[in-house]
Amino acid sequence: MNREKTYFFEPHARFFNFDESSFIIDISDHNLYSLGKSSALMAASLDGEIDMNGIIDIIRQYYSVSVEDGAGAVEKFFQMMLQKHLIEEVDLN
Amino acid sequence: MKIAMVLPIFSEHSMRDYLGINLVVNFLENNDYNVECIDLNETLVTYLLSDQNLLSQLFSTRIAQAKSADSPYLKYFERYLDQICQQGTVSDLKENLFYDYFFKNAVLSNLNLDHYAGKSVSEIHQGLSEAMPILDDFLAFSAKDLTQKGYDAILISVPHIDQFTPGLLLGKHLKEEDFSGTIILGGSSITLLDDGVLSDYVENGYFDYFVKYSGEEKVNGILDHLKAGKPIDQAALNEKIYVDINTQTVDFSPELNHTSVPILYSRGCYWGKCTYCTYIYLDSGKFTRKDPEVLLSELEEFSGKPVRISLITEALTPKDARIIATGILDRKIKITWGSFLRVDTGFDAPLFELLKRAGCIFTAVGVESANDRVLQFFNKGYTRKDVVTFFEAAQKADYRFFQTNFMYGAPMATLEDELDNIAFISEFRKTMGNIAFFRLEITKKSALGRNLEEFNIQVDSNNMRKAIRVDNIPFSVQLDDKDLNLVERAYGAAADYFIRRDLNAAVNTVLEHPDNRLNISGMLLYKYHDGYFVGSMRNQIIKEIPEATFSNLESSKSMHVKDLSREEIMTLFELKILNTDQIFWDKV
Repeated sequence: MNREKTYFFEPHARFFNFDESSFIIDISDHNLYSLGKSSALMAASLDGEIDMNGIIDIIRQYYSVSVEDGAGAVEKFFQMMLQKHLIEEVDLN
Repeated sequence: MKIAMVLPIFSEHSMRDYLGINLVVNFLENNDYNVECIDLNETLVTYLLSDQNLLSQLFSTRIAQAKSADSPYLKYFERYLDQICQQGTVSDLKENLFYDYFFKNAVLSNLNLDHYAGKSVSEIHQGLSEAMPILDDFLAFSAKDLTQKGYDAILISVPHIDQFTPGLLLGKHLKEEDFSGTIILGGSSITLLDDGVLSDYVENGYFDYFVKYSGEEKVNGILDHLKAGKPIDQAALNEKIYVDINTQTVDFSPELNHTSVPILYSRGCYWGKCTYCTYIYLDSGKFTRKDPEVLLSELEEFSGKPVRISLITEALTPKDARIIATGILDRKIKITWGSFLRVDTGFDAPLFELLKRAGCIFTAVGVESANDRVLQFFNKGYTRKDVVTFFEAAQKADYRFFQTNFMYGAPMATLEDELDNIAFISEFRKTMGNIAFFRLEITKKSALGRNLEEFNIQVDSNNMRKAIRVDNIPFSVQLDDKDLNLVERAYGAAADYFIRRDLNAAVNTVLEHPDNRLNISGMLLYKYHDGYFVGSMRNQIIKEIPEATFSNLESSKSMHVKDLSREEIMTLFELKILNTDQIFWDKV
């Protein structure tokens, strides 16, 4: 994945942050996805301004993990979010 | 005279939780009438405990399901039932803290009248023996028992409208048993019903008289008339008459220890304009408060006692909150208390700090919504901006509410409107205690119910939820069932955060004292096939546990905190095998 890309939530996806019980609601198909702590941290960073590299840094700092582990977890999460059409790439133009 | 005050099925609260019942019984006893209080909910449990076949029937469906799925719940239900039978009495169930769970999850889930939605009381009465023989037999048994005891008057108190139909069914059974005394219905739900509706039930032989508004003097008057053989004037019993609020006080007695004690502070509501509310019709429309000196003297009696005071008022005003909190501190009254608040920006950070210092830690706030469209529909008198200001003030004072209430299902609300509340809860989660969410019900007497057209409410008889409540209007909502389900799941997921947070806090408190003994009770340990399980007598959760944990829990009845891991202690809290209340009371 291109780590310099920036993402934000699709209009039909809403994120609610409750620390360890955070979740995303997909209004279009009535799904509710419960998130773990690291996923919640990533989702909370999806403001359309921080790119994936920035989010990898946040995760690494928070969990004191290696570059590889941090990047792997973030990429996996983003892949999943894209597959479920919960996030989209920010069009900077 | 022989008099009984009866609380009909189905009430999740015990009789002493109802302030009105306490006040009427105290008043009658002060006037030399001896009143026997009979909680039919407890009588129902006693009735079920008396015959193992009846108890087994409550679990037959669940046991059959578990059997067909080869689920470890099969053995759980068998063990649970066995333990319940061994308890034998309501007082044993209560002493071991098994009663509430058993009543709500085993009794209420099986024996409610929900599937009679839309049916008349007469139809329910006629069909009950076939559809729900246990319940019909119980009502007949109760009526026979009360008749044999020869009461001169039976006062059926209906604090909640859900108890109205069960109260009527009892009245009918009493009449069929040729009960020779007088049957009188009262309680706040009766006050809110139309005189004509109640008179029809009198004519059709369900009861003899009904009492509206303050019951103390009216019931006393009925008993005086019965004793003297004088006729009773029903019209006088319908009149809006209130006793002096300064006489409606509660004295401390040792049996109140470790309970929540309701103490009356005001009648009516200082706002009184919410479109869904009917409680405002319980009073004359006038906001009446107890003299602060009378209230503080009443509270003084409870100083240093292990009780939680619940100050009964529709909504405490900021000014009153300041007067009461200051009075408590000035008089050095040591109590923990709570009350009900509405969102009012008069509650600023210094006031929340004052309330905290004065022991006011059980406050419930009815936010209902943080969406301006919905707030306007409910006519709450505040906007989202005010709600934010109110919670920011609490946050600044590090004040935590005990409970924050929300309401969903307004007919005009969209899914986005509803989810605004979830976003709001997430923003102020540190300031909220429990969150409770209720689906809007439109009652006939509320402003919404009286002005359906004005509020653009479409009556929809297919949307009959709990229509056994005679005062409800079924209505259409914008959201479909999937949307509503999503909203409920979102509230549930948000509520899960609060449960987790409190469990973590409880575990942390316990871990601070590794040498303390753990007070483990209500634990069901068992093996199923190759798995090891722990279940609970206090909620319907079972957990598969490692063999080592199983052996650890099985081996010692006197276990210390340090003998278990954090995860194991968390499991015991989740299953309520360790009780968070005990931690709370110890702290107090």
